Amino acid sequence: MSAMFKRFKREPLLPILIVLVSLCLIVFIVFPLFQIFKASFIMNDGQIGMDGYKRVLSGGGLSRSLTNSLVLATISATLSTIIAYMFAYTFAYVKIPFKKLFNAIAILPVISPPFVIALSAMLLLGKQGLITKHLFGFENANIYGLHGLVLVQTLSFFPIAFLTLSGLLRSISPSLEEASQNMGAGKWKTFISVTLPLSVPGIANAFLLVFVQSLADFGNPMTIGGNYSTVAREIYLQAVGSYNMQAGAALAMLLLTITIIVYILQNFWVGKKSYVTVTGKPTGQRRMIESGAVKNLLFAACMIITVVVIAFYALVPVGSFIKLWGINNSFTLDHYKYVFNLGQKAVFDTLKLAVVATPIAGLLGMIFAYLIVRTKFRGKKTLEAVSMLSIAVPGTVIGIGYILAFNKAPLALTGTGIIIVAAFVVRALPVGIRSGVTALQQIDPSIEEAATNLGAGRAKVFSSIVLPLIKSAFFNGLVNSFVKSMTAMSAVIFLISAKYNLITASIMAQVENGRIGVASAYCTLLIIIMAFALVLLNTLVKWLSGTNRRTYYGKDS
Amino acid sequence: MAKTVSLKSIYKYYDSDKGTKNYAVNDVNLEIEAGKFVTLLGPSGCGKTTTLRMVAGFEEISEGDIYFGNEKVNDIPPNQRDCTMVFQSYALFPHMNVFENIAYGLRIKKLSKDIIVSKVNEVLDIMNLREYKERTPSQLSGGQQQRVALARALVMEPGVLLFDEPLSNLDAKLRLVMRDEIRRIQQQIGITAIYVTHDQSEAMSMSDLVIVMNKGKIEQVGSPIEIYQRPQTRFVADFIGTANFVEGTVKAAEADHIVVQTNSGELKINRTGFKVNDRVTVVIRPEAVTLTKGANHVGIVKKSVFMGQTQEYEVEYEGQIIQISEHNPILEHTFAVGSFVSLQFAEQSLHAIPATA
Repeated sequence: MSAMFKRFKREPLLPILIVLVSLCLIVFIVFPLFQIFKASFIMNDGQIGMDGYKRVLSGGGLSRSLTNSLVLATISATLSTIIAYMFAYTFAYVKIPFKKLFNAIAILPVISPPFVIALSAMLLLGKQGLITKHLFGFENANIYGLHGLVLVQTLSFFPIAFLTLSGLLRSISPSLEEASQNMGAGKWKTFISVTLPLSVPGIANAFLLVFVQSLADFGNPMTIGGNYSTVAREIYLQAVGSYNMQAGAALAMLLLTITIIVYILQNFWVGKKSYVTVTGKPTGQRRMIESGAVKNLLFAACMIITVVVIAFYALVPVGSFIKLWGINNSFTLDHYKYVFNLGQKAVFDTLKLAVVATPIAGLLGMIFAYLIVRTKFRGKKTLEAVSMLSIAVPGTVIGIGYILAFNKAPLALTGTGIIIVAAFVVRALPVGIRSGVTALQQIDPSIEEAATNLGAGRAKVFSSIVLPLIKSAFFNGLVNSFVKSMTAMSAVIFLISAKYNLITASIMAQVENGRIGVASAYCTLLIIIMAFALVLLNTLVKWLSGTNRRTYYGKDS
Repeated sequence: MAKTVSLKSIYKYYDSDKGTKNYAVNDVNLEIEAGKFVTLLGPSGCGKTTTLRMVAGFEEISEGDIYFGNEKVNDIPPNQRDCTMVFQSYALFPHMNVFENIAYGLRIKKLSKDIIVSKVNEVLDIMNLREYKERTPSQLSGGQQQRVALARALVMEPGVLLFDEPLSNLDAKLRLVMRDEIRRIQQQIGITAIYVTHDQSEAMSMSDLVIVMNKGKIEQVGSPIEIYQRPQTRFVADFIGTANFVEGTVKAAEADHIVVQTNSGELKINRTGFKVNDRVTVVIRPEAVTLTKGANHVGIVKKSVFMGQTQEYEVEYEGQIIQISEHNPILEHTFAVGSFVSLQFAEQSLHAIPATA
């Protein structure tokens, strides 16, 4: 006891931080999830019962939404992984022009608002679609439903798989493939017997990532799902539409269970299977495929997908200037007038809340990362597990959890900005923590020890050594939080009120009313705001890292 | 001001899963005089680095006390201890240039700008780093980084200077240069230094006192020559240099020597402190044996390798392989594999340790 007290007196900052951070986790993640668990057993009359689960599993509409989601997730994840593998392989193994463009295209969907692709799918392939009606002359083309969702989700999520796979393929040592060829295997045989088996863990990982994304996806099913009901959407409809909390909660519990199982599978099974070892040795340069049918084929395929993605993105701004898509194709600024008049509040509310949430999430992420990587304390494993597991919690589950948890005292936060900021932060945190942990793990701990050894206390070490060294991770965290917050929908759709409206919710409302033009205008505006903010953040980073250096040297220098 | 350092019954243990304790450092006692250069030497996992880190305050002491001078430092946090450390990886701050790296600790002390500049310049001169002060660590060679790390520690004028295998990342030639330089500067300033290494030649060439550690315990404390020529345990004899071991029994104990009966006949050894019938292990250094064409102690050459300065042999002798190293080998006088040779043991250089040690 006295030893503990002594340590506390020596370093009061650390225990205080740990308590604060743990409190945040408990209040904003554990407590809401527990409330969902509780609610899933409480019937409308207040009795305890299994009705919710019975309804969900009995084979009715709720049950169908579950199977629908699983089918959709399987198809989308498979297609995304195949496309992503092709892209990643082309990047790592084939010498082609326009790599930068392909790279940008592959990253683009990660930072775009959730609706862009769904909206352009309607504009391109809907009833009045550019392709369906005007190119092929189909009447009554129907983009709504499973096929539309598969298309939209694949285009939206393959970049996530691409990022995973390209990292993995690049880290396969070329000497392994050279060894295979050296022993007489041809290029195809080498691919089948060396490259592909080595990338199996990455493929599994990419598949599972997209699988979870698809399961948790709310925006696309909401806009383009039609009659094809999915779990995330059904949770919202149950909880907010028909106010059946028990069914919503039971569904949320099932969704959460599935995503957590997938997460565990990913981290403990796939993670252990990884063959790629990082050695300090620089690996030799890979000899790229420079010509031949394989190159042409891969180049063509990448080009086609790139053109499609560009078309999907270009269409939304175009659509925002057109009066009534497909029916009255004249130029208009009406949609923007509408957005600037009636939509102004949503835009400013979103900006305001995102600007508040961004630094909180960024800083909290770094503090979490620091605690996880660099300190020892009892309960650290639990803290780490909970903070990491929160990446597996779908937005809709957070949403329903928050209305259940924060609509009564002592934490009556419903309708306030705080609850939306909290949702933004919780959604953005895991990525921030991850990038912080990765950055910290790359820093030799003895650098911090050296600072301590030279007289710096823990706060000083953090501010003068750690923070400057993880600066880029920190700003990546900031950018990520901002982007996530501006485009958030699944969690916050439950939490908006008359007092705080959000752009994404406004877009959804416009889509539901069939006002694609206004929705497109909102989306365009959102993209412009984000592009502007990203440039601003980047300049800020450059400016900050520009000063700080060049303080003073010797007088005589 | 150079300080003495005392370690009194220092333990470091971790609780294992089975409820027992795993000892990383086990009852280490040490008195280090002010201004001395002391090396902790041992294989990896012997507890030398853990000991050093307890002195620096990076590891908590499980049991025991550490004193700098008369001051007990157990409860002094690492950032307030009067010792600075040179790290194995140098641990230079990558976002600061050479000057800022060296000035870091002085700034924490809140010294005035003028004093900081003059102190840093002074140490830059000692380390021949003046022209590099605006470079960042990534723009320096390994040897220069090493110098900056040392300068950063020296500029604090600590009571004790700590080194954690500082030369292990340098190439062989530079290592030789740097160890002379470190030793020179340490003597010039007269600072107390504790140096951790697993490289025996480093320990031998730099230290006033070598502490050989194994499995968390001190095996032997002594000057480099004592450690090499008078090892007290089989571990020390084996770890430092190369040693052949021959088991035997003391047959006669005289005033200035003993005679040991071994499988390979009697060996006269100029050591005392044993009784007749004591079981002993005779330590035979490779250079303590010369080979001739005589008829006494005959063995057969199994391996013969020319190394430039020496000719290295492995000779099978009475059922045991003896490693022998002959200096200044001459072509005509080397023995080929398969030759029969006579082993001459230099009684001054033979050494005996109790068979149990």
